[in-house]
Amino acid sequence: MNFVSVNFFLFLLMAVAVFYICPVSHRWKALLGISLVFYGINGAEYIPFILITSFSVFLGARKINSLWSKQKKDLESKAMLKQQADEIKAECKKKRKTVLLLTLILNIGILCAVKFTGFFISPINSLIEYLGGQGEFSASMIIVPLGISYYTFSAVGYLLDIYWNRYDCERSFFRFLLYTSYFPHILQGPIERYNSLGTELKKELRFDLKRVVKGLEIMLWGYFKKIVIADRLNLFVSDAFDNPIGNHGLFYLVALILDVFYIYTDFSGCMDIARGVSDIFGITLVKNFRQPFLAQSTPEFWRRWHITLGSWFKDYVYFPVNNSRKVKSLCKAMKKKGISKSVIKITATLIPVFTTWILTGLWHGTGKTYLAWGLYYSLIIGASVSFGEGFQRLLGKLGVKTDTFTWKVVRIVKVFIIYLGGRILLTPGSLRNSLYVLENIIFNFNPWIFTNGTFWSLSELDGHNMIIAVLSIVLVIGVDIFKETLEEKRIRDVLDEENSFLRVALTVAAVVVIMVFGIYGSEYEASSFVYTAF
Amino acid sequence: MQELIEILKRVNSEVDFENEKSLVTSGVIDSIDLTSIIVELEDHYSIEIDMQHMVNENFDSAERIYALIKELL
Repeated sequence: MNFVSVNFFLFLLMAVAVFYICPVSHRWKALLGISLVFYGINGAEYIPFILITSFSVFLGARKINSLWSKQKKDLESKAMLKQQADEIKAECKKKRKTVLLLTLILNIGILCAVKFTGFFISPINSLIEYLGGQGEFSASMIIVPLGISYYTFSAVGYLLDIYWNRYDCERSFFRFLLYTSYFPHILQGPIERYNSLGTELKKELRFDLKRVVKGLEIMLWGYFKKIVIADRLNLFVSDAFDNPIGNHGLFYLVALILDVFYIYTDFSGCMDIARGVSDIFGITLVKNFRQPFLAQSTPEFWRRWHITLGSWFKDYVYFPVNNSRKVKSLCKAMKKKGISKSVIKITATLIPVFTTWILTGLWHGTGKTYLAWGLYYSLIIGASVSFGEGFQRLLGKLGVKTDTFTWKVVRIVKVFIIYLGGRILLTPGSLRNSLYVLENIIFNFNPWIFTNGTFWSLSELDGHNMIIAVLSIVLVIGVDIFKETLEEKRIRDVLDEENSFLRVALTVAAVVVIMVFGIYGSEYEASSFVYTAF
Repeated sequence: MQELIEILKRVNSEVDFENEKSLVTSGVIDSIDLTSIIVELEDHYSIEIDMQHMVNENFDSAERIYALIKELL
């Protein structure tokens, strides 16, 4: 059930009614029921998967937590020598590690099985045939539970937090199940941490009209981004890259630039809807975007785009690899050999950077394009870390003023171009197509297609619709720039300070714009949100 | 404590380790510095700093790092 469907609105209406009819103390149970019904409507066959993950992680975390308590109790029970204390710690650590590994193998195994099996269909069929069966296994036979990457990552993050003794474990399975299955974030995230969303879900969830109204306003903004911009741009981008043929580099370049705004408005629009829906129930979801296209470096861009995925990889992949025995031993060995400090630092950084980015690529998809995309960012971030300081010194020697407005713009454009480079690898669908598109942009730019009318014949998106899309993008960028100037304040705080008629006028205007300029039609069906596929 | 300050200065001489109270939280030191600090501390004090100790609070000031070392020794 897509967020952009009549069925979803009906579901939401009923869910809100059921939720607020329930007594306050039972509302979390109602929310759990609502979330499971939502998940079941999307596919009853998905339910066992989320139950297995939730239950196994819940049990694993309980066991690990009890081992931490036992260790503490044993150490405090009597005075002992350091050696004895170390032995107790080592024994408990070994047991905790066993529980952790078993739980991780089960859950990451399920995730890999559903995500990677499609990549091995041909060898699997050959094996079946070799064993005497009929090799009729196909990708459509694989069940890929909705939001599996999101709920698995949330659950695994919680398990690792307990393993590292960051906070106490959850005692109620149903509370934990609500955390993994909470319906506004199950489709596309954000990937919430247990100590954030878990706490939110334990609050007294009372009706707050002001908050409900704000939730509806955020939803409207999300629908504007999705229906007016993303679905409109999708028409153009699909025409350009579904089957790229023809030597018209300019068309591909425009389509790539529009693709960047398509993916941004589609994904951030979905996040706005999710946060708005959650606000209606009185629960705050963390922000997943913070004006990413105003970032002045690629690492900063990734701290502003899909924030919760980036921070998940930072905390659960980057730091553990960075702090692993192997990396530390390598650094110590290099130090003993007298290798310079800067080389040791760069080595210690590049290993986790490559690991993190290749895994981030594989999280998005299993094909070669995603691997290439992961490598692309490994190299970009690796170069930024390795040569960043040297580049800054060079700029200083050349007398370039880096705290000026123009330099900031140059950096913002640079980040955009780098992002565009990443999209060239992904959007055309295969590396062969990516190469074809790149070749055309460089060697067959053909700018005259814009003047001889060919440009508009290449896509079903006409000039009128293009103007609507471009003006809407300008509005989104304008709002992003405005948000950037607000610092800690939010637009909703600014609206609170204004007269209520402005708020009403903006709401009415948003509804009218969505109704009039949204991409609809008799045969229209809102395209799925892109990130639902992960 | 002075010995610890000297070790920290060896990693990044530009940071005011004596007075800074939010080394990690405010981004005064980055993850690269942090790894170097951990390697130096493990080497010097023969301790093992695990992921469970990798929280901002343990590395936000020289005093906190000192307290962590004392706990692990």
